[in-house]
Amino acid sequence: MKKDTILLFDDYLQDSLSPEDKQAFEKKLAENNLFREQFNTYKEISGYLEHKFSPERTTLEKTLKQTGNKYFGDSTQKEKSKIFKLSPWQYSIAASVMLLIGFYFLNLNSKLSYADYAFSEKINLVERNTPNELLKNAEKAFNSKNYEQAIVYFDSILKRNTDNSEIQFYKSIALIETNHFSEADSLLSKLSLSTSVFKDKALFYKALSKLKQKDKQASKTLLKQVSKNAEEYEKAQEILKKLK
Amino acid sequence: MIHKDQKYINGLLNNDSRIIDEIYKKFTKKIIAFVCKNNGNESDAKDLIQDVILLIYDQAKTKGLQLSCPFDAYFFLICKRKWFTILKKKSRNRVTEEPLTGFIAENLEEAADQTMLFEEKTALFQEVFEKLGDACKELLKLTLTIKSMDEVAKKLGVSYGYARKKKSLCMGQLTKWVQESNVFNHLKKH
Repeated sequence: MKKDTILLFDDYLQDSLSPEDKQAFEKKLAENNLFREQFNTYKEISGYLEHKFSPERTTLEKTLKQTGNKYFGDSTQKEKSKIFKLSPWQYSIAASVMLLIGFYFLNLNSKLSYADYAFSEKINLVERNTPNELLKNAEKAFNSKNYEQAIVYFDSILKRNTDNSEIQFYKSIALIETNHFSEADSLLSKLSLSTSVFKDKALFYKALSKLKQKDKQASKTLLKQVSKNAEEYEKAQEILKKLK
Repeated sequence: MIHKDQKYINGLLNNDSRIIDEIYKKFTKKIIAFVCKNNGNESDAKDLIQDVILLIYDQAKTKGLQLSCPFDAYFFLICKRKWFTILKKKSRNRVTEEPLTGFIAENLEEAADQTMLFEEKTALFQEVFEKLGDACKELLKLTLTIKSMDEVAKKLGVSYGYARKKKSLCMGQLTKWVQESNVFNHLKKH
């Protein structure tokens, strides 16, 4: 394929052709089978690679690894460790790495911070089939960390639907992020005592709110109450260890 | 008709950890059992599950995959087929073929076929990309993630014109290799 043809494809996909050139390009695309086939192949490869290198894909891959590790636990680790045979110099490297890791954790101990455990997921409020401007705006503001704005949207949603525990939960996260602690804490208390699916999460994030307020004792008390079945149980145990 | 289980696909598209958690919790037990029964172990199952979820995500993102059958059946069928392919490659052919009882869903086979074809195609793209020289690979990675050619040129310390010319050469080579490949011409017939 000619270099000029590729440049043309590229320009077309970047939308940088003049209106006349664009029209001529589309005409050729409609009339010339070979040209169309070449363009479609080019577009497909370029689209796939673009996706493959995208940060979104890397993030998902990370989430999958974490979730996989959670569900498959140590059994796979053990199996793998049987296979490795270390030579003496590898042992010495391993030993120094262990030491470094040890120092790292010692350091962490003294530097336990709210930010390490803060809510970092992207929320998804909008369902494809029922577009709702307000939900869309709230989702967008929250996901772009524009929490003050998100609270305004959440409030409008809650006006119509007071008992929506999902919105209440996300609102409380936004409140913690913007340091409106007393409002966040009371909302989270209410949620953690309810029967909603967010009750475990609410308890955990109330503990985090206390952590952000540097009230370690209160945080500890709450973390101890996080149920074994909660998604956040392991994180809670981890923080408790660091708080000792 | 889009199946209500499209929520799992959308969950992947949004990197929604709650949905991903649900997928692992609800649907992976039988896959692990299947792999363990067929010359594999739990660690193989773990890798397989991750690869298949990523494959479904890739198809959803680049081809707008819309589910018209239950996710459970679809996911399991893809895992099965992919595991067969892996075993074949390892040439340990003995696989217990079982009929998919309870999985008679409309559109299921077709959806799985589409996904497997999609996988073959993307594996080809990947293979061809790996054949490129390092300079081409780096340039393409940059131009496909950073949209502005100006910025790419600056980052690589070359002129705008050079970066653009080089990109077209690299992409041209890639497209040519793909078009010449037997796999691609075979896949086109589907």
